Amino acid sequence: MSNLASRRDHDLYILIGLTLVLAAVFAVVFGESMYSARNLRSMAYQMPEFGLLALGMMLAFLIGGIDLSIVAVANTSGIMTALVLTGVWLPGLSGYGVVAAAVATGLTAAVAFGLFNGFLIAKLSASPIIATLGTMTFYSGIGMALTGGKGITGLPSAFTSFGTAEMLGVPVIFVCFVAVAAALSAFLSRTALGRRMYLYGENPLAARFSAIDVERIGFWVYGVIGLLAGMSGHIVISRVNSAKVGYGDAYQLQALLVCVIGGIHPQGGRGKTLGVVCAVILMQMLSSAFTILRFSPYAKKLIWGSMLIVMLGLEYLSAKQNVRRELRQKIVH
Amino acid sequence: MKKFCSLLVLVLAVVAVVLCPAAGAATKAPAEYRVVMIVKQSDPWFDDMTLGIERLKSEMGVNAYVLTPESGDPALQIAIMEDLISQGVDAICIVPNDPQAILPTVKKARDAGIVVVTHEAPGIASEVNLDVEAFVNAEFGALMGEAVGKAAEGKGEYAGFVGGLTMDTHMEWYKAAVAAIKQKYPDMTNISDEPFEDKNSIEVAYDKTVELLKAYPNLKAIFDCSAHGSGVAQAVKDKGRGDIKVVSLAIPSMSASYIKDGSMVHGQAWRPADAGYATCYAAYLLASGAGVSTGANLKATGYEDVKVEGNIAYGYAPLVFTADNIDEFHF
Repeated sequence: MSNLASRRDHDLYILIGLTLVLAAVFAVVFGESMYSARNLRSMAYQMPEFGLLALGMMLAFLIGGIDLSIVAVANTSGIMTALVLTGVWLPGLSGYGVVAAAVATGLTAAVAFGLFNGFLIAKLSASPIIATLGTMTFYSGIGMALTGGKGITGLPSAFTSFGTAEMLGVPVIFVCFVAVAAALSAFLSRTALGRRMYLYGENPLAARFSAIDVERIGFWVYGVIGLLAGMSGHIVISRVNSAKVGYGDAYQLQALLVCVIGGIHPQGGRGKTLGVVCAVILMQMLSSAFTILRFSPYAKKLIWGSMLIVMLGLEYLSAKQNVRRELRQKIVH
Repeated sequence: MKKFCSLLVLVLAVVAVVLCPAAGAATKAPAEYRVVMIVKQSDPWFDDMTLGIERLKSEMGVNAYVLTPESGDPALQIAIMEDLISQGVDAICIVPNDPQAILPTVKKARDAGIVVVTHEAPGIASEVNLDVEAFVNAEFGALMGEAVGKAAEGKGEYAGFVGGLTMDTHMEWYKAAVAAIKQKYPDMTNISDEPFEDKNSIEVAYDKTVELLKAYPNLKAIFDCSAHGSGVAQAVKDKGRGDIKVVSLAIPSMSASYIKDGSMVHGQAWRPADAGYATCYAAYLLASGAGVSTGANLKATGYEDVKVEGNIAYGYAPLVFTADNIDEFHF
């Protein structure tokens, strides 16, 4: 067991090293334009919305699933919040009361969406990729029905000021993201339930025979994913001061990519929150660099795609290596 | 020669800066202005727009270039804007996918002293430095209406399509076209008070046209304010009703064959390259302090004498396609 843990940390150190090396290379190549206080703050504003989605995707990966509906959940929950904020739903509230009611509505809806995914996957044993593909269309359909495809604008400043607020020069939304990541990390590594999630992901059958209630874990994990997606949706609408179906569709692929780069094993059971946070920072640096370098959209797509394939390849090779090493050890002993 | 000229300008600029530091800002060379255009996505329309901005760079020496997001997701446009703000460019031009969503970022950019100029976003004109439009919508619609009347020789019934009743620009064109027909060709009658919807789909345009031909056998002309009039032309062709004149908003890549074989008698649009050129040049003028007011020359075809009204600079740049010129355009 301790052997396994140390191997995982090994992968994590490589990722942290890679991030630092890239940061150093960028410092030499781009200098001021990458590391001015203004750019760092700008990146800190951009990271939380897809960072939270990536954390959600990580939880799905850890238990051997996937969630393709996270962006749809984020969007539709944002739309519901916007409907309350603009007084279309629950009219008559004012000031911070309306903000509280709106956030409660949006997050409740997000958790409900997540739990419905969990119900399909854990209770009805639907394949995660098919189930969430279906709910993705379903949830964004709800958003479409609520808005008719039009944007909801004119959110009260009591709400939107959250998206631009800063704490000692650091965006509050970034602080929120770091806090959520830290809490998840502590939960996964320090609690028995977190430990069980890894075991479930590593081998669901063995977990079931070890009296772990996999159904209940799966159900609630998807609920938490919904909550994370809902938080991301709220950050989005507070940043752009409007809610609309289809905003952030590009984050779906990015969230997947971040998880794979962050060393979360798509087959489940392996990976650390810190890896995902590192990968989020890495992605943001690359994306800013692409703008500075004026890359064409084709070049960007090519790079994102090949990164995904290369990381999966490396994952495969390192897994093969490990199996060999373990076999060798067994033969020696 | 060009190099020599730009060198001369640079030398003069340096001398001017040294001699009168107070007026330093006004004498910056065009190449020192970084003007960036963010388009919606990569497609023939915006590829043509890119050509216009490359021409601006070579003709005027402005350091202008285009950034293209991977898809039509507004989030990607906003991310690019954020990066540009922290790089401290002089001007950001944008054709927004979702005008409302970019407003907070526009404010951020302007707070940082960056000029923001939009194209195709008259709804948010009051929040940006300037919005550049190819024409006043009523004039564009009237041009379409006159084409309908002329093609039908001023007699008979006609029908009009829009993409959707909620699409503001389509509705403005439609109303202006109907008004123009009423005024200049009083013998023509519109078969319906409201336009038909083609839902921005060639198939829907086709199906509805087939229905119209059955219900109104005396139709003489059909016009479509969405770029999907090729569906109308195809239906007219398939039903052997070559006597019906089709007029439509047209994109060469979609409508060229119909314009060439005559099943679409008149196609009109505006040139993305010129619109991009004018938008970025306006941004340069604003950033350099020259400003853009009525009568300003934005140097692109159709934008030589713009009319500024309510923070919107209107050109008059409708582009009419004929069988002879359609092959010259690639968007």
